[in-house]
Amino acid sequence: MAQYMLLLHRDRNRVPNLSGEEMKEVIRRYTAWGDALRQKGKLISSEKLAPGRGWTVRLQDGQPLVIDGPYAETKDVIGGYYLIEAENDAEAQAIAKDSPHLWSTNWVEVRPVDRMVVAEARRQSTTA
Amino acid sequence: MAQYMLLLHQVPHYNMDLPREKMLEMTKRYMTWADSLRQKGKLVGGEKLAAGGGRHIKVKDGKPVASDGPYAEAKDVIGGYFVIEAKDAAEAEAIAKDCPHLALSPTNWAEIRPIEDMSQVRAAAS
Repeated sequence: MAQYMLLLHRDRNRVPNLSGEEMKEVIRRYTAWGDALRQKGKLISSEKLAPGRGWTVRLQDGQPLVIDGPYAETKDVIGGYYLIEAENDAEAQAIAKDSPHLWSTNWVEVRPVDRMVVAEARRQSTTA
Repeated sequence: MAQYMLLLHQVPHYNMDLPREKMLEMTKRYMTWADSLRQKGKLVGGEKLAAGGGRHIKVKDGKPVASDGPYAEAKDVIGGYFVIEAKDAAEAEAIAKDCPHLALSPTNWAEIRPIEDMSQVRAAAS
């Protein structure tokens, strides 16, 4: 089994015009989908990120500089993620295609998790 | 305590051509940092994402379609993430400022995002 990260992207300029009840329905769809994956042993973790809140940090002249707002450079934001287990790339993609996130202009980025380098670094550190 | 996600942004493939030894050396810096956070009870999770093999799923004519995505022309990709515990935004910021990701390349940066408490989200939707 391999691990994959599903990054849930959306266009920050397209705020869906949903009523409170519709919004609840959308959240229920995500949670039900996550629960079903978990029951199949395919979900490792998932989180919803708070919309519209965040900071960016980078070094400027060697000093960390914090800027309010994650969205300075892009109209694309990440609203949350699922970390999943899948047999292979095809299964990871099939799971992503079934995701309730695929509505409006939303899109899902499927990324294989790289555990090899980390495991090798860990081995070297413990034998050093 | 609250949870925050640190999304580690970078220029695509900036570390692809590095010799294996250099790559391992860099990985160890993240690992040492993460281990010390874990010892303080501040680390919830984290993964390194593979530089290649990413796919992009979008709805086209009502059907989900997978493609290689915008990676060819992307100027920014996420190379990995950490989920941390912090008592407030200031502490999350202090932890992010100390992350080795920032010093490894001048084009690297971190995005700090508060995580919503899912028990509250679920309660509100039920």
